[in-house]
Amino acid sequence: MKFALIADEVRVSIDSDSDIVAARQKGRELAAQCGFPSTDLAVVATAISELARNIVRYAVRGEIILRLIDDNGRRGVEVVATDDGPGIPDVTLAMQDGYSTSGSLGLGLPGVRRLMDEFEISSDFGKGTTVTARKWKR
Amino acid sequence: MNPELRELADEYDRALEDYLAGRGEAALQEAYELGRKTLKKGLGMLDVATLQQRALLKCLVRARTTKEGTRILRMAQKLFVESLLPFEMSHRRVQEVNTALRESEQRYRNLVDTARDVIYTLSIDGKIKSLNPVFETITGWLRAEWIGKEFSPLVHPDDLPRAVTLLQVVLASRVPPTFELRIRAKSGAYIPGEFTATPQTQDGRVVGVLGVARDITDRKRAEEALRRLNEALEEEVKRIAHALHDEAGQLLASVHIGLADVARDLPPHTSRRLDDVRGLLTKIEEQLRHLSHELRPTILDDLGLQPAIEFLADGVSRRTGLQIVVEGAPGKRMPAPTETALYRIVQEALTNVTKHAQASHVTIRFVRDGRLLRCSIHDNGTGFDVLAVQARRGVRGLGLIGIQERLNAVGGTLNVASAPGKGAELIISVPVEAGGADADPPRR
Ligand SMILES: Nc1ncnc2c1ncn2[C@@H]1O[C@H](COP(=O)(O)OP(=O)(O)OP(=O)(O)O)[C@@H](O)[C@H]1O
Ligand SMILES: Nc1ncnc2c1ncn2[C@@H]1O[C@H](COP(=O)(O)OP(=O)(O)O)[C@@H](O)[C@H]1O
Ligand SMILES: [Mg+2]
Ligand SMILES: [Mg+2]
Repeated sequence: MKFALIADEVRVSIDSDSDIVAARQKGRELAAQCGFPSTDLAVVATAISELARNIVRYAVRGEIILRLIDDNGRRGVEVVATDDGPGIPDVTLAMQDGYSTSGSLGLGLPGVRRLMDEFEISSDFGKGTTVTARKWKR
Repeated sequence: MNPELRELADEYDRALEDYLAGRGEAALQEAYELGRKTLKKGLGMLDVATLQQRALLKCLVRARTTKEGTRILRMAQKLFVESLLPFEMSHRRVQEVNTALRESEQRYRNLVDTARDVIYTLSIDGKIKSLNPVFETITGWLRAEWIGKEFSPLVHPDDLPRAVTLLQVVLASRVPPTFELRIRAKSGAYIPGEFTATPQTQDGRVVGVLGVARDITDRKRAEEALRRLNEALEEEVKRIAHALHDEAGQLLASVHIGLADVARDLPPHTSRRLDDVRGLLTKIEEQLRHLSHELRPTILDDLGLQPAIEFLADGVSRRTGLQIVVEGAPGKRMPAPTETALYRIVQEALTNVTKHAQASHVTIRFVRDGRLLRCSIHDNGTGFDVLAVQARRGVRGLGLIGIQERLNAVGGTLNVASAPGKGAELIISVPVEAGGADADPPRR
């Protein structure tokens, strides 16, 4: 799905934990511009955190793209996390609660899906992963 | 405060200090990671609330002005939200799971409430835990009259020992094949039921039995009707066989005597022409006798299945020119219903071969294999598409169905192997008593 862009998109390359903070910061700013209530700002920051830490942990480097979008007057924030890493062999499995290949909580991907309003994931095994999540202004 | 929480408390203090010191997003991220860590350790939201309260108090006592106090409060609140977000994610998961569970329970309820079969659960001590509404329709009992009670008074006394054994089997975590029990209705009548029973487990332990019971009154009635019909048919066939053999046979014998009389009074050359007629008459007599024996072969009762089949094969062979070979031996004599069923089945199979197969050769083979007797009837004819014939509902012939029904009655099975151009083979298996392959003396 393609939505109208309200402002220029923001790209943050991710390759360390400090980049995660930068991406969260930008996301929060963008969502604040859009007039999100403060708890939803935290939600957007959380989604960015989870997707960015997955990039750092599993793909080593990648990029977070942030967009302010408009769908017939409804405004929202789109978070795209994309990398050229190893990809996910079984996306359905990766989306299951508690599934983790690193002994972590397996909370990230399913958590982001539930916190955000829309969620898409596509992964080519060996080629990389792209996750797109949107939150609309309430 | 335990050491685990103590360590987290220090981290929380540091995060709040950092945030107040203007480290912004980095401090918020710290709080978020702290929340994740708390969750991972299996601690709860209230623990985070405790951490936040202590950190906040420590900072607040240092505040010199109201303005500063307000700022601290506002910022601490934002930080608190961050540390709670991991819990929010996991909370939403629980909500989603609960909703799915509720929906699946509702679907299960609907299914159970509208099912036409009885669905029951038992506890390990044989008490009835649940019954669905159709139990009332079928048995006339109210469910409330039985829930919490022992199941045993519901079962026919003769069936009870088996029911108890089966309960033990299921409680030992095994799944028995379907079984039949008669159930006492409120009216006092017994209803035949077909049952399944499976163990209900919780944390790997068997905690009860879940099963389905179907009212098979109609099926039993149909089976009984079919059995009686077959019996009546056998009687009728016997009558016709006797009529052919005795009455027609005797008439023909009188004709013989009459002709012999006449022949004596005729000149030799005319009497020789009469001899030809008498020869034909003898053939007719022989055929009639053979036919009557095939119809109801006393040889089956007297000598057993193998001689009867050989006799039948011989007759068919002579009538049709089909070459028929009987191989192997059915072994020990079997109960009369089984022998009759096998005889009729081979008879119908041979009829099919002559009617449809355009075959030149048939092999009938008996193999005794422990508690199974297998009989195969194999022809080298046109063959047919088995699935297509079986799918031909309504318009299909009664032969193969009749074979199947006869086998049902004696607990046997039928396999048909055939394809166009490949001939046809019927493979019949019936359970028999274990024992040697040698034939017993005639049943008398
Ligand atoms: N960008 C990615 N590239 C390759 N694999 C990934 C990527 N993101 C996630 N995965 C795979 O999907 C799995 C599930 O991800 P998810 O974020 O849900 O859990 P986690 O990262 O293992 O645990 P947690 O997020 O709770 O620390 C990961 O364990 C990893 O195998
Ligand atoms: N030995 C056989 N060779 C070829 N076709 C057969 C043979 N036995 C059965 N069939 C096919 O299967 C059909 C069903 O057989 P059956 O149930 O005995 O009914 P019916 O003999 O009354 O037609 C037959 O009509 C015929 O097409
Ligand atoms: Mg993750
Ligand atoms: Mg037939």
